[in-house]
Amino acid sequence: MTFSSLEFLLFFLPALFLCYFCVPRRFLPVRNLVLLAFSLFFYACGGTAFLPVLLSSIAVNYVCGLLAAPERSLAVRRLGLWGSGVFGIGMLAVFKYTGFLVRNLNALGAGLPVPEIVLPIGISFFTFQGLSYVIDVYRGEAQCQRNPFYVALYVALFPQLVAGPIVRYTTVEGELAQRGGGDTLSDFSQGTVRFLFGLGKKMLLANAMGEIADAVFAQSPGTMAASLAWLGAAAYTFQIYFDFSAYSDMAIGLGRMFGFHFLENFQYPYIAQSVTEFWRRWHISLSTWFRDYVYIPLGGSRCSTGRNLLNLGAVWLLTGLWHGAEWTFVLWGGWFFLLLAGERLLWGKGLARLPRILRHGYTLLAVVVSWVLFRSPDAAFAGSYLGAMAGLGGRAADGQTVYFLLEYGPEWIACAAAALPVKRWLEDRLPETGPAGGLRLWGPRLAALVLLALSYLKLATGSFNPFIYFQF
Amino acid sequence: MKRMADLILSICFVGFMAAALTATLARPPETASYWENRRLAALPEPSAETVGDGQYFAQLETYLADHAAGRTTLLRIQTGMDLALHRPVVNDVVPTENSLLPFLPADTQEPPAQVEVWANAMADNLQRIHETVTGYGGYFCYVGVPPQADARWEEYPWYLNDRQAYIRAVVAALSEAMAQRGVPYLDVRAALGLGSSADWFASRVDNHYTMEGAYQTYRVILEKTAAESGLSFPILGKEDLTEQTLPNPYLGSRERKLLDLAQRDESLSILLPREEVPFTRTDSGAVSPPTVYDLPDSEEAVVTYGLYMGGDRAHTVIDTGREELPTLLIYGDSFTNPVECLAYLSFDEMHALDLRHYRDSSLEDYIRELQPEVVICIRDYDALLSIPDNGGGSSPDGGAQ
Repeated sequence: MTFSSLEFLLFFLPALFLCYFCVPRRFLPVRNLVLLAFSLFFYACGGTAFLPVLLSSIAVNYVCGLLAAPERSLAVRRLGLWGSGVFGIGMLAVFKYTGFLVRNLNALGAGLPVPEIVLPIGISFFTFQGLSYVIDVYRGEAQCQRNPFYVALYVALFPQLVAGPIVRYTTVEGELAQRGGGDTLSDFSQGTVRFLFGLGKKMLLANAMGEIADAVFAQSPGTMAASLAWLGAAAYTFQIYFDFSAYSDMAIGLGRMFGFHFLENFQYPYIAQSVTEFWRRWHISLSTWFRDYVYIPLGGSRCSTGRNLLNLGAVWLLTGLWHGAEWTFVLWGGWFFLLLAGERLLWGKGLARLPRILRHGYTLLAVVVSWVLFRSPDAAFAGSYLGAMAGLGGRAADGQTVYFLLEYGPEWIACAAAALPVKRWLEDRLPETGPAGGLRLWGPRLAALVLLALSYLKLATGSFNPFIYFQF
Repeated sequence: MKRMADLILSICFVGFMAAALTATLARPPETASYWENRRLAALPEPSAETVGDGQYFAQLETYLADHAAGRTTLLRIQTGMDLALHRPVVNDVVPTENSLLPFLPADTQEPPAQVEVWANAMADNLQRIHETVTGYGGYFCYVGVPPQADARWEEYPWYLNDRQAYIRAVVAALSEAMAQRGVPYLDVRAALGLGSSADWFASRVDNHYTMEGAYQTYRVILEKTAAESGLSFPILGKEDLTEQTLPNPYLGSRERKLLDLAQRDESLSILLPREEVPFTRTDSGAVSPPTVYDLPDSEEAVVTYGLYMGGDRAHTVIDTGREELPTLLIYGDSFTNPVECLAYLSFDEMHALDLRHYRDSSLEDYIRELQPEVVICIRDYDALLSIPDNGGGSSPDGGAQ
């Protein structure tokens, strides 16, 4: 079940609202139990066979959290830390990387049977959440949670369960036990607006761009016109942003409806003026996770240049592999490692002196190339596709490019506008009183309702609705 | 004021969900979508396996999407919006000024070598049928007709695929393969000298030909058959027929795909013999009214291409009781239907098979049993190399699907 589905909008969410808000606010533990039950049901909708994986992750991290608590001896705390780490990484290794490992061993002549392991939905996200909880408890940055239902709710909370953002325990620690003390109606309303903007981004923009990207990437890049290759790459660049940020918007909005305040996961990444800045704006919860739990413990940048490069390389190798067990993801991570290391050590200062438009151009080019690596089924395809973008496909332009531009003209324009911080720009410039104040108040709400109507239109009439980040 | 705005938004959101839920649950059950010409998804049955692997809820979402409240109205709104936005392709239809053409997606042109492989496989298959027919002294001819997209290819915007290169390669490869095997093949485009936009030949709003196109196809098929078989049968000229244009609104398949929101003025017509030929008709063994046109009850009723022969039928036999004339077996996809409306006038018996639906025996067994003097297969260019069903049956080395 996805957020952009009729099952969710017409059945799951109304049922949850009914059960949750019928419980008086003072009975928060009961409300939490309702949320937990619905969250587990939400996860089970993706296949009950995966539910034991989630439940065991919750159980192990709960126990490891108890062991890692500061009042225990160092040996026990380390046992908790390592227990959580070995279990979490082990789960990922078994479910996500076994097939990749065996295929590579076979490429070296091992001749092993490749196991067909189905990846449990959201395993990369809830594993990282569980790990962050135990690590934070071990470090003393979070209090050990003795109520197993709260740990379960933290790990399994449905808004962020299957596709993030990766919520730190410290972010919601207080709200698990106490929330809704403020204005619940305001939270609900703001959450609704955020959710509906996310739904609209997914249904109206990401899916349209996905249709283009799928159509282009399904073709042979060997004979592809350069214009079409660029168009396909641009479409995928928009698709992955609007798909993933839409999911984050919906997750943040849903969390807000129930009184949780998750941190932002995207900050208009395509306006970045360097790759370093891009990664401060893109999938913030993942990059900060790797920063805090891998990069800094390895020594971060407070070490020799060589060691720093090694640390950076390790982080980007892991970031690439986190996204998928394929060499294209390793290449993708490697590409960002080169760019980030280059900006830090070689061309960063020079880049900062360039005109803004050139900095944008450089960053967008680097990001678009990265998404080609990300989207390609294998390294050979990626090389061939990048060759087509460079004009090696034999043709500069073709009719398909014109078709995709005309067919999706409104969506291209909307994508370009929505990738820019128009909302923030308007908020900064519109006065809070007078007619402009009315626009500030009613504009987003009316827009959200229009997006709901258009999204329902798409849901009821279309069938193209896959979420990219469900595979991670 | 902010609290009021929050309250109104929250009520609207929850109210929308409640209204949509209620309307979806209260919707009378439907099994088919007329405008989409397909069956709607059935309510899935949960099982341990489908719930375990998540398939059940995926199927349930498909069911809900098919049965969402106000879906047909929403389809109309969506289609109307897409047409108003002047998208080049709407619901897989290319609306041009003159016609509604099929969208031919990103070129899936197979390399010529593969086309030749398929053409040879098809020709081998047809040679087998040809040998069966000639084995008892009959005449067999395979007929290729241009569908709407091919007959009107020049109407496509320049940037859209018209598949001309691929179609030409298919026709050329099959012509050569058939000639090598000595199997009669008639390319109707070449025989009629059709230009790039044969308005009279192909419908503006449907994949098939006009009645005039069907008549000209009938004429060239029978002229070739008479010339190559030596058989004698009447070939009706225009002077032998009366044309009637039906006043009814015509809903072509492309108009239907656009929920009748983009009409191109076109009417269906029928050709009736000036000199009546009495006949009996059976469909799948059951006696049917002696007519080849499924005429509507009123002038207001919508007519479709199903007017001709009453649509695709598995097995139809028309007997005119003129034993001095030969017997015809005609088979193929729906392009045979309007030709059948004329062909029976030239033969004693006309047997028509649609092998997509006919399951009583194989084509070759049917031919051996009946031993008709003339066997004609009509396929459009898109199906020309497709062996299954009306291609005559499976082939061990496959062929274009």
